[in-house]
Amino acid sequence: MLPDLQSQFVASLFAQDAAVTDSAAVDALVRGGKLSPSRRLAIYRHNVFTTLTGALRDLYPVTESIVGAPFFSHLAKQFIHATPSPSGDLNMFGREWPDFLAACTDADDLPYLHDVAALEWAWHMAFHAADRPRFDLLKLASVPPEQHVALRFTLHPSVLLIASSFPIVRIWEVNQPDYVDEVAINWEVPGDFVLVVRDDVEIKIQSVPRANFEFLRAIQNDASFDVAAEKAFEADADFDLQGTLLAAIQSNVIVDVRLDSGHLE
Amino acid sequence: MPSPNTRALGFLNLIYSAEMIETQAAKTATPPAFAIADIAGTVGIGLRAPHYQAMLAQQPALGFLEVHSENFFGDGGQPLKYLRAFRAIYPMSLHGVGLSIGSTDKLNLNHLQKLKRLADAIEPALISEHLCWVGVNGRFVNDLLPLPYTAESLRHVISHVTQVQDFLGRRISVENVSSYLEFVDSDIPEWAFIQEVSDRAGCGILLDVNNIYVNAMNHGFDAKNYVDAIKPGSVTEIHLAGFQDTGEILIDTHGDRISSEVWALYAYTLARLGRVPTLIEWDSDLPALDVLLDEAKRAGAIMQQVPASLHPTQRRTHAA
Repeated sequence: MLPDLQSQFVASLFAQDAAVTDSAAVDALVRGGKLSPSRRLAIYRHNVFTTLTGALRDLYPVTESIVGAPFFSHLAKQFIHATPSPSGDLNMFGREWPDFLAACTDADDLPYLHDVAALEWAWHMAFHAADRPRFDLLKLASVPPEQHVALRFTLHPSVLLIASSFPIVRIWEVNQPDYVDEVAINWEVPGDFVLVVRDDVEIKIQSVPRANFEFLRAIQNDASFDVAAEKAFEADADFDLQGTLLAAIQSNVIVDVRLDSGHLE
Repeated sequence: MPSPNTRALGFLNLIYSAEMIETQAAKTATPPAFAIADIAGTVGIGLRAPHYQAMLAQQPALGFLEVHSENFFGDGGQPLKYLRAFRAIYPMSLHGVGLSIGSTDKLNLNHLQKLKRLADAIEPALISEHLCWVGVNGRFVNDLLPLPYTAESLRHVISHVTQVQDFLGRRISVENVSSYLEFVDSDIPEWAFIQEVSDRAGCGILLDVNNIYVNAMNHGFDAKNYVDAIKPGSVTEIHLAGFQDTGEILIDTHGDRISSEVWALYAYTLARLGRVPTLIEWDSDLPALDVLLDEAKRAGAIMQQVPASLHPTQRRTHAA
């Protein structure tokens, strides 16, 4: 029956001990002829692992640049066995790669690797995120000043915020294919608060001050303006609220605003 | 330190003085829908991201472009921006690699919804999927796996194709895949199987002439017999691509020029089927755009040798 055939075939493709499985199950399913059934299965196994490994390479070029192609392939093979592709859309594959690296003992000596990978996944998400019109300042015109504290801002759908204890933006930068300057990394810095955003089609990755990060994270969690400001001032008493808000609107990080009474027209 | 609330108050005045109000870009509407008749008798190429700039600069005379549907399943950003730009110039064909109509899993509703959203936004001249399965039990292999050609598979595929066409409100075409194995259970020839799917589900056939040749070599049948078994009215599009000969088997890599044997089989196919819209596919080791255009020109020259009377519609090209 077709369901059994398909289940057995896929199980054989991902069998950890290929030699054993191939001779047993596959001979009953697949015709031989010029090539043996197990040799034919091996062609498909090769194609599947090449495709899925290639998808990971496309998604995670910085990870590959850091660990090198052979070790990347080694990690990818483990990942592919452990993580079923969830969709016929290959763009959905690889989401769990950062978590896999965090748990992977083979990558223990690269403690920053999974944070860099998380940044790469964020780039991928930003690349496909929805488009939004720019912030329409006229929406604010009807709001009385005493209600400004209750405003709730909306971030662009591409915005992702990542906190890391490592300088991941610098690591990202020196591992770009077109990067030619000094490759030294200052490991003494306390880490990075990273803002990822797409402005039109350009994806920007920036290390921002912690207060800016807390401000945007509060907005992302749907906090009102006064609560978001409070989070920022907790991180830095000298936080530049107006400047930060202006810059966030100008750079398409903040795209909309509403009062709880409804959208502003 | 003033309270945060006080600082938050009155921030608007500053913003207004910054003269930042921008006019929203005028919404661009999708150009008029193309029907399949609009690409009759034409040649197109697969559109791939590394060629975007060269394509926009040259706007070569091509009948249509084809993209992999899934690469435009995202909500926005660069992929859709470019796709809309090309759609304003050329008729578009959406070619899916992941719907997995041959799987015994239920059709993935989320995948179908994304395909419908894309089709409604792009109004393609053609939508196609592969006659294959891509995964089972929720685990995808993201490779085009052949089916056992049986009555059971046939019922199953026809049911899925019908569901897809009903959901999309559009006719689709199904493409024959290259394969490196045959299942013991198969008791229907591949050519009879795909024709039966087309006849009973009412879908078109996307006939990949390279895949026919590859399978003929890999499984030992006469490629011309395959072509002879296909009804002329069923075929909506032809695919041409290059394969790789590993010495033990032919692999459909889409990574080389079309072989002389496949060109000959293409001429044979057109002589039987008429001027079917033809696509040059190239995916791995993508060369400069000119190489694809050169292959397209060659296909066009072969098509010109086929009597136009074999096809009711005049040849048209889009763009300059």
